[in-house]
Amino acid sequence: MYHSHNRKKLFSLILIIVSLAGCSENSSENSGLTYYRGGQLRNVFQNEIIPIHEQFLNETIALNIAIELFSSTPTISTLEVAQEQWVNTMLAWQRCELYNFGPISMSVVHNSINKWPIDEAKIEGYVSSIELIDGDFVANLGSNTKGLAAMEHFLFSRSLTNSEILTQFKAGNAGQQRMNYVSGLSSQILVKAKDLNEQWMDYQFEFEEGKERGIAGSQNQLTNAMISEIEKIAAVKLGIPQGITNSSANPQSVESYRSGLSLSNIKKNLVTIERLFTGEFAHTPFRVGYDEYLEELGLSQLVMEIQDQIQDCQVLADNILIPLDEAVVSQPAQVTALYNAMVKLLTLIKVDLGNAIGSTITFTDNDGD
Amino acid sequence: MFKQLDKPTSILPLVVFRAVFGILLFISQTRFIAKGWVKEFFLDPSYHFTYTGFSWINPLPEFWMYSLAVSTAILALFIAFGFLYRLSAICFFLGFLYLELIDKTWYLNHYYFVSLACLLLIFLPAGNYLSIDSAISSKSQATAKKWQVQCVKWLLVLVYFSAGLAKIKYDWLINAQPLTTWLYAKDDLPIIGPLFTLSWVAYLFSWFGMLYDLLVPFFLLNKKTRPIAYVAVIVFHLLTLLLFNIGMFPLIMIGSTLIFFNDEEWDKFFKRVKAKRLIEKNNPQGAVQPTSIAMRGFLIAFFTIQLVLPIRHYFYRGDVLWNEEGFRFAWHVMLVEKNGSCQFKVVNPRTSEMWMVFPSQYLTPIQEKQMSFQPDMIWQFANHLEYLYQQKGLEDIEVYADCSVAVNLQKSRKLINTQVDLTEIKSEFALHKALLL
Repeated sequence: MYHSHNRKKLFSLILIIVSLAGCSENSSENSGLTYYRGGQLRNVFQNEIIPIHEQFLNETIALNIAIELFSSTPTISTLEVAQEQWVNTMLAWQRCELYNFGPISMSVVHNSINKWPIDEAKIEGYVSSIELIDGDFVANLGSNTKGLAAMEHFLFSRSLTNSEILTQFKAGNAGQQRMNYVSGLSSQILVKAKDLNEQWMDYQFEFEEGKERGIAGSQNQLTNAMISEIEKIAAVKLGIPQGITNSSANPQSVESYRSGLSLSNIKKNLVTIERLFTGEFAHTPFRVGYDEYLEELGLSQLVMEIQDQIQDCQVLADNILIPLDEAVVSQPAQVTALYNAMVKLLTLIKVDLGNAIGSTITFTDNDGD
Repeated sequence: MFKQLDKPTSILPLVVFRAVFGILLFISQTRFIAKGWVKEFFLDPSYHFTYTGFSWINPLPEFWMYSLAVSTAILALFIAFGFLYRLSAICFFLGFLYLELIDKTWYLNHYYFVSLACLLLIFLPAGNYLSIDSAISSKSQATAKKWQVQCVKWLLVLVYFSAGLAKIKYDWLINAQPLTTWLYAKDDLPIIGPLFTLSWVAYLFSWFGMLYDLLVPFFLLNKKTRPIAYVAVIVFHLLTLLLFNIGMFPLIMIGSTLIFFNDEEWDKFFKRVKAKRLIEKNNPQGAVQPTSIAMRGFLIAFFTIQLVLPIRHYFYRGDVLWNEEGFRFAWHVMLVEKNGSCQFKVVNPRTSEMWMVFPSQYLTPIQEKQMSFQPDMIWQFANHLEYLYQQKGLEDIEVYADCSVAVNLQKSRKLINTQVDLTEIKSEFALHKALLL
């Protein structure tokens, strides 16, 4: 009798909970944070991550063709085609750079595609050696002697004209070694670009279904990746050349120094950050980003602050009209202003956004409190 | 008072505690090793945030770190089965304490509770009955002094009550934070998930959580209310296990609170489940040796410290959730969602050279996260930077911290005065001078 009474009470309690759940204002399938989180993950994967990585792969294929052409017919014209395609590939890569987490990060494939700074002395050592340089040789090299940055070392120079660069490729055995090295780099970058695309396709289900709030959640990983990218721009891409993080200016330590592309790289990185935050990737009706997620939490003010700050960074980057390595010397105040704006953005994303989404901004599990 | 506490009582509750607690510790330590935390916590970091007075405690070489972790797991089993009990309890306590003292990044309330409970276990005769030791020696002791059973209960009462007291805060009760944020993000749970989008649910959880912590130990002490209180313990902790990423803590509390049940209740339970009686009827009237002065002194000191530590923050300036002064060792459990970001400015005053340092260059992500909102760790890292720059030949450098912190959905603000050279502060206890309250 007693047990039967208890069972009835328990059943009533469950009934009340289920009823309340059914009546709750946000119980429809189109609301709630999980709904937005799931939408954000699908959106970023299908409308951003996959397209930008496909774009990078296409640029890499074109780069491979351009390098093959240059290798078979080394002229000023084919060198310029190769240079132009290297720029397109590098800028496409800058859009992908942020997305380095989960199995992608574990595979360290990003390092094989573009690790910077490179070891120029080591590269020249390989060129002057009697080693047979080909794709396999390059595949076995350390990340600071291969990838896009290493290819830039061969294709561009701030002191030599294109004609002089071409001469280097034609200078006997050493010239052939240079050409072989560039060809090897190109084929390996293509291999890694294909590998990266395949890795993302394999990761799709896990990524899109990783809706939990905890450490393994995909939103958490995205947030951490965005934080890492902002910090990298501030500390490494701006801080080191400007001398903010290492006392004295070091203009040659900018990324893509030889091609003069460093500022364009940063601008592309900012585009990725902005698009990731807003989720405005494609003309679909469902373009959920962090902004919608924060709006759902009632944090419109924070959304505005972050958007304004991203815009500030973009404007400050646009205001620098000369290559970054020159700007750190002749316009240090403008570079410092951009650095400070990036640090402010870092605080907004890492601290305020992190606090709002209740996300554990770490890469490890927890074991209690 | 000790005359009363020296009276004999059934040892069964203590033996149940030993067995359950030991098995949970074994699971906890095995899980710790299996998750790769020995490497991640102790071997990977190049720098460790040591506790004041324990800077001499450093990680051992890799082989010995793993050996130590495995040893604690085995010793936990020895405790559970009462094998070489006292020696096992001493070795486990020292080994576990060593692991915990390496780096304050990994401070967790449940690790602290384990350390305290193990310290007590060293002095309790929990291995004298229903144990391998008693089977080998053929000497069984079915009774214990009252205090020997009670002291574990006192510790649990203090833990719960202090945790409840810590919840009497504006953010927790009036803003229902951080539970509003945390529960809202759990709206995908089956059946109950949609409830978490309703603001009153977070308030209900906040107020219930506070009242639960304050009252449940007393309901557990009372024989009449004990069964329902224990059901509440199970429901509460399972709910926290389901909702939050808090590992072993709920299971350890569910297991530990079994000590509140006396031998008669265990008898009833075993009869109900038709199991053989676990314990023979004992004779609690036997004469016992009075507790030594040293043991009495230890108990008084132990519990005095445990009474003072959780409330010490009331005597400090500012909000403990913000400045974290008195936050640790005070049962501030699940009270705050906090995020921070720090940059350090290193200045050579002689040459006016300046370096901005992002701590991620030197710390693991979890170390950086924990440091970014805990002033004593920020101060420690500033001093570590001073040391690193001294190694480069730069004497008398200045280190300034620019740290922004957000607490429970409030807008981020500066934690530390950016004009204060942290290397000039000689002790973490003088750190409040640099805090922006």
